Amino acid sequence: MRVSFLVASILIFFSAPRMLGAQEYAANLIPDSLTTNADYVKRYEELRVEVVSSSKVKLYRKYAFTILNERGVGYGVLYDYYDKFRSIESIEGTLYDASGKKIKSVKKKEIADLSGTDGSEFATDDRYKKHDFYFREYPYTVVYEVESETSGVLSLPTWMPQRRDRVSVEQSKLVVKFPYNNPVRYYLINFIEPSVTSNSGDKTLTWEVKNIKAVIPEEYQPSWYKILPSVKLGPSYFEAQGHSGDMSSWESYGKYIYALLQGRDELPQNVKQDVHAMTDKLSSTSDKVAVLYKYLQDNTRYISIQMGIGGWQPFEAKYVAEKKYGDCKALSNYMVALLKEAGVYANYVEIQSGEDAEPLIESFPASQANHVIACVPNGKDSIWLECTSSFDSPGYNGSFTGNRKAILIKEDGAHIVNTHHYTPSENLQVRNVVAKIDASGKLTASVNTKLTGVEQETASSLIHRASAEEREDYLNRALSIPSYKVNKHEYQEVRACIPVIYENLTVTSDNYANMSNKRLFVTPNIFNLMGAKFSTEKPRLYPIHYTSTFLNIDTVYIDVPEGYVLETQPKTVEINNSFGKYSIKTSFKNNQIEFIRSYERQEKIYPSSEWKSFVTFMEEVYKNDRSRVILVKNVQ
Amino acid sequence: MLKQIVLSFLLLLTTLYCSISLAQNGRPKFKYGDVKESDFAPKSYAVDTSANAVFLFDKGTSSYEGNNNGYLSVVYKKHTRMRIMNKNGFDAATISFPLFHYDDNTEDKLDKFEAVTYNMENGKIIETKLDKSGVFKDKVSKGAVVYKFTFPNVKEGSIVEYRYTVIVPNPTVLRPWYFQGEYPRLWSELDISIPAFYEFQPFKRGLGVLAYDTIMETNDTYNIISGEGNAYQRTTAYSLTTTVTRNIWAMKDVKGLKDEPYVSSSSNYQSRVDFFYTAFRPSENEYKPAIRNWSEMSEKLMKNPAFGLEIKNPGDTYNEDLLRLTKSDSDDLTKAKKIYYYVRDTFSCIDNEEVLLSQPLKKIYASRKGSVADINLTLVTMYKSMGFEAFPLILSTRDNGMPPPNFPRLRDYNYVICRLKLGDQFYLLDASRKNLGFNKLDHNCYNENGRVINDIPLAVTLTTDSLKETKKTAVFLTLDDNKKSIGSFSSELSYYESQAIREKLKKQSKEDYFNEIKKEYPTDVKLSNFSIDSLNNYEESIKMNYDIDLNWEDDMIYFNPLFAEGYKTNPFKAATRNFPVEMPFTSDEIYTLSFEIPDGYVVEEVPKSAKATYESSIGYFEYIISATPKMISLRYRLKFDMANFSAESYDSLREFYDLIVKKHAEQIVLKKKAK
Repeated sequence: MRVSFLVASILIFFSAPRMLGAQEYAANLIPDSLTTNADYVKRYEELRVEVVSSSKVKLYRKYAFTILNERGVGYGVLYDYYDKFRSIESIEGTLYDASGKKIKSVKKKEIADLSGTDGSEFATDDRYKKHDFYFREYPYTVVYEVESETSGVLSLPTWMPQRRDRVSVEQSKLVVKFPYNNPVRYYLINFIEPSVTSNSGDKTLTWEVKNIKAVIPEEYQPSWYKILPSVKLGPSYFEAQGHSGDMSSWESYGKYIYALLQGRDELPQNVKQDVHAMTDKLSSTSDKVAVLYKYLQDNTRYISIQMGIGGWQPFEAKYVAEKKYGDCKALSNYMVALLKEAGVYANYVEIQSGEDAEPLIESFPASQANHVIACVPNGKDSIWLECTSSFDSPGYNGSFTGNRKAILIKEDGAHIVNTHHYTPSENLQVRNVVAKIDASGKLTASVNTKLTGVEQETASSLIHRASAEEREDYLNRALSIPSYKVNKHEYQEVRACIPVIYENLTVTSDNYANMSNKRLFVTPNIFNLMGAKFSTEKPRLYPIHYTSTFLNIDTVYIDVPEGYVLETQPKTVEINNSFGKYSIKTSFKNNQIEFIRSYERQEKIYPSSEWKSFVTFMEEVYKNDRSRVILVKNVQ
Repeated sequence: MLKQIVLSFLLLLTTLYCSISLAQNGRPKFKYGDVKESDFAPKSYAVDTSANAVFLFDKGTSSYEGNNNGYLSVVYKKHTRMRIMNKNGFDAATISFPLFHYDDNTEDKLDKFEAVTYNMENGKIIETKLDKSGVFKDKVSKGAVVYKFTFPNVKEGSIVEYRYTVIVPNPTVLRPWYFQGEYPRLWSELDISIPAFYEFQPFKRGLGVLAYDTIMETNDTYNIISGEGNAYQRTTAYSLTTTVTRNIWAMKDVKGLKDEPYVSSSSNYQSRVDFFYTAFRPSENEYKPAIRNWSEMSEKLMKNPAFGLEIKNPGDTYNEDLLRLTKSDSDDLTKAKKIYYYVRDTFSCIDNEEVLLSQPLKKIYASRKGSVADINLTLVTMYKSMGFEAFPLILSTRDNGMPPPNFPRLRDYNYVICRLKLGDQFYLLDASRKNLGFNKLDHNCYNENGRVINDIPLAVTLTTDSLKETKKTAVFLTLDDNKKSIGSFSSELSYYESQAIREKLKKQSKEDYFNEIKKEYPTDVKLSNFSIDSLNNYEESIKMNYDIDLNWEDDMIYFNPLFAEGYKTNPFKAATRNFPVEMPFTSDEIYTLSFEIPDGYVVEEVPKSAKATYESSIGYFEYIISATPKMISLRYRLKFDMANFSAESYDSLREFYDLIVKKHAEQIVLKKKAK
């Protein structure tokens, strides 16, 4: 094991920081303003980043956290990862009780060395060190000091003193030191410029914060990284395993990544033959893309392998052709190679994936991606290819990579591009329900739904990721109505940039309608109960981030037994404001309930001042979606 | 001990050797690499036509061979062939298996390993072999390395096959065989040959039926070398021949194991065979039994330095604290409680499913941390130092599965609690959980298999049927002096529901929790003045109170008299059931409503009263409502005297709940009087 526990003299490089003396760890010295809403308090924290050379960075972190309660326990546990590029040089630590009295120090043998492989990864060389004092008399204070070294500086840490809710910060500091000729670049989020000191050959930037109160989360708030202050760092010149680069512009960043891809697109002869056999007769680019993407989907599968520089460089196309598997980089690189063989120009694209991904900062060239896709560029009509999916349609970004900026890698550097932006009418759910309630209250419904774009993603997973049995199992749990059974389910798919799924269900529910002696209670909106209730008692602090974009149209016909007349029915509602459009209309004639509902929303950020009206809107939807038709027996 | 084995073997020198071929009655043979075109023909397999992957066969072989350390090793071979039916079955093409490192510094050795993928391409079978670079090793703990690989070139319809051999240096450890797993198996077979030196008791469980079951006796010779690498001892080679008992067990068309809700552990129903080492027979005249019964196990545990020995000799570690904690009390129960609270509140628990101490008691006490066993054995020892009668009680928790009742094997047990006797009263104590009360256990401990470790190892059967969870709720809607309707809700929760809320309120504020309750009510009902009692009194159940205000604006008032209580959906959602239903406890819920009708309203309609029983009187449901012009009263009760039901009774249980759900949805209708 490379990790050695040296007593390093890294302190010499820096002016001595102000440290709390041991007695100052007494918990009663923390001002009340900092314990309110907090599970732990950062008494002191210092992160030092020193760029020694283009291939070596020293990281030093010392902190003292006071853990106030059980919820804070996890933050008092030390975790630090290491891999082929990163070694942990030393770990020291001390535990103090509530009065600030020292209880004990970290012993080497108490530090666990663990595998970094989690359930989602097949293989990785990540490992981590873990230490826990297992002290649970609150409050207590842990002080840790960790030195590590990175060889191959591809990314630098982000400093975010308050990373989440329920932590307060008494003092936190970031010190960044680098040689004049290789500046560390930074990007500020809700932060001010650093103080700068210069020496003969190098420069030091210092940021410091004091006395930040704990925050508590709010519903529909933007992610913490958009609200709380942070400093992102990026290298300029860097070197990793023999590859050197410059990250100070997108151009040079892209050239570095491009160089890593060079020569890795060679295909074996048999695959080349396959490509030509499939595409030579096709004339349009989109047909060629569709055929080759299907070929990729049918012949390869996604396996996550993060070994060595494999975290940055894809396995060669040959490797994928032979093993028939790869991670996102390897599969995207392979896809680009297949397209190239067919004469279709395509690019390797780095992107931040996931529904709540951190947005790309265009003005800050740096490694800002966790995923790779492929793209056949053509302005607004670019075709995006998710190469880890065995079933997505060609051109479909969806909620995983849609609505965001991405880094497209070309020979002349990286270009910032936009993936597809979905509109409500592209994310459709149009549902027609024809149902009947019999004399016992039993509902039999035939449910036909057209789903498109992001709205078809659940159904798409059901078709492709679940077995027939799992699908049936899911459908029989997913609906919020009492005991029911999905007797029949059918799906039909249309592969397109905006994919379409037609869903056809037959559902029975024995006690759907509630019957009394005289009355019949029916909720006509059987399958689409939305909206929510929130409290408006506390003043709203943060903006409101509504994240979904969709258009739902429901048309429901329910036949009821003869002999009832209408007593109460949902009021006709039509709301159209900045939050969305919502309408319902109900009528009853000839023993039939007719219910028509339309609901449209767009992803948007609203100022905190609109919280009350936002809640009113959501509650209106909640209430009206659940409103009932009450029929009473017609006594003649 | 090893030397002894070698010496004993020397006495056994015989020359008889005979081989017997097997009678092959419908038992298929599997040759590595023997994949035919016709194997690709089936589009699905009758065992499960919707399976994502199917094991064409899964075969394990355990036998013995002589080794260079003077004794025998187990040779475990595994050979598996699978068909990948579709993309969702690709997960089945990733295989991992552990190799172990033992305390005596010996370890499992992987002897042979190969894997290959077969595909039909243009009418030809194409083989793709796994190369060594495709095998990854992950050291997951000190004692285990997981080998992991994924088959190359896997497509829908591929056949994948692998085999490996592991040499296990411990002859008393035989790997269990699982006939059943996530994916269905057409044939699953264990072929096991055990020389007469070692005696095992096989234990079969699960719902599967053996399609092949045979036993044969044969003689076999083992070549053993001892003293190798030891400068002070001559290297000696022996040949030992003895009777070997060979068992072949197989199951045919085994369905995949599927989880179902309300099952303590689905592993209880997984078809498998496990082996309990019962004796060592180095020669005909020598018989050294391993632990055969609980008396022996208990005796051994009491002498074990990592268990009973420590308890017997507590020394003076605790005296100072015990004196400080109990000096002001004369009553034993008060003293016992104070010690329990002290241990519960000051020790931190590191979850670890072991029955033995992880380190000496002294160290545990000094660091105030340890596993469940560490903490509860500390508690036992502290009580013993006080002169109390306290004993450890070991058990296997519900999620750990049911150990076979008559084979005492420590690794099947994963939990230790303390059994204290004061006067003629017994108390079961668990100080490892922060919010358990004195004489309270988590319901996960109620798995019917407790065993007191004492001279007489008493079985303590903690059954879920004996756990009564009682909940009482009362709602009053009365008229205040201004004839305005005011409402109050008060509920005394059951113990485990209280525990769940305690756990919840550690993570969220009372206010947030009350907001959650509000969401359970219809929008036009307003709640206020939330209060909660006994939150930190862990022996007691929680009591909850708040005010309810109905909306009296409309001409017609419809409301559910159970408000947010009651079942909105049937807890038994699935239409079919394979396993028995195992609820965590029995229950008795009582709800009463007294509703004074405000002036100006008349009762238009109330639900009908109803009563029902489940299987004579195991389940009882009543919904008794009465209405006068001034007052509506409701009494609802749902009571189950049993927690466990057979799979066959699932349908009727589901129907019983259907009735309840239907009744729970019924409405009261009030109408404004015409003026």
